Amino acid sequence: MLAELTGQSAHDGAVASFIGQVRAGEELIALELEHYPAVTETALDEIAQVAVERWSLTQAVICHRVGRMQIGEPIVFVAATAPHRRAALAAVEFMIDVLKTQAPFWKKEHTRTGAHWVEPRADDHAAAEGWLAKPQDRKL
Amino acid sequence: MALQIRFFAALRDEMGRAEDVLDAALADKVTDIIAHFKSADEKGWVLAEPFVRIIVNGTVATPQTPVTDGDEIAFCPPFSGG
Repeated sequence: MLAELTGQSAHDGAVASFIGQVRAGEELIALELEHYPAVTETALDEIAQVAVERWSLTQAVICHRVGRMQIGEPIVFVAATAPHRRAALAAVEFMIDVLKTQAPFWKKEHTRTGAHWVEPRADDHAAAEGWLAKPQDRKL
Repeated sequence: MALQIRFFAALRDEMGRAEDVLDAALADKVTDIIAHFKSADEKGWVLAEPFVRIIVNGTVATPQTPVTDGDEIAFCPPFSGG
């Protein structure tokens, strides 16, 4: 996917990307991702569109997997292309921070002792709220 | 026509099903749907918890959002993707 974005536009000096992958936990066997079809796609499109407008990106891409994943497998791919690196890097950070709490995905951890749904972390909410605050209130 | 109800992730586990169908005459607003499940379901109270996100026809909603015949109302636990 990254190769498809690289070298597409002579005006772009930057292609930034992030891949989230399944991190090993003490008892973790696999991670399962559930989503709300159709609503997820709209939410991801909106997040990407906001990023394009806010950082004047050439392109923004968000690709999120669903279903069961093993340790080390990719979960999500986020990328931005822009004339300059700061815009591309900031946009990637924005998109991953915001999608974690604003797009309808749910993680379930399958462990040796059973399965449980993952609660969002407080710092995930703080990161998203930092980006979504009104410009005058923004910390980032 | 009726109201199409969907439960996701942990709320699906709590409610014991992914979907339900309600007579549209039972509810003018989302809060009426919550009240119905609170009285009809052992675990229905969970839908009234403040962490629950409500989505009506794909748009974020509140307990005061009006509902009508054919609407899809989803009850979601906090999102945890990425």
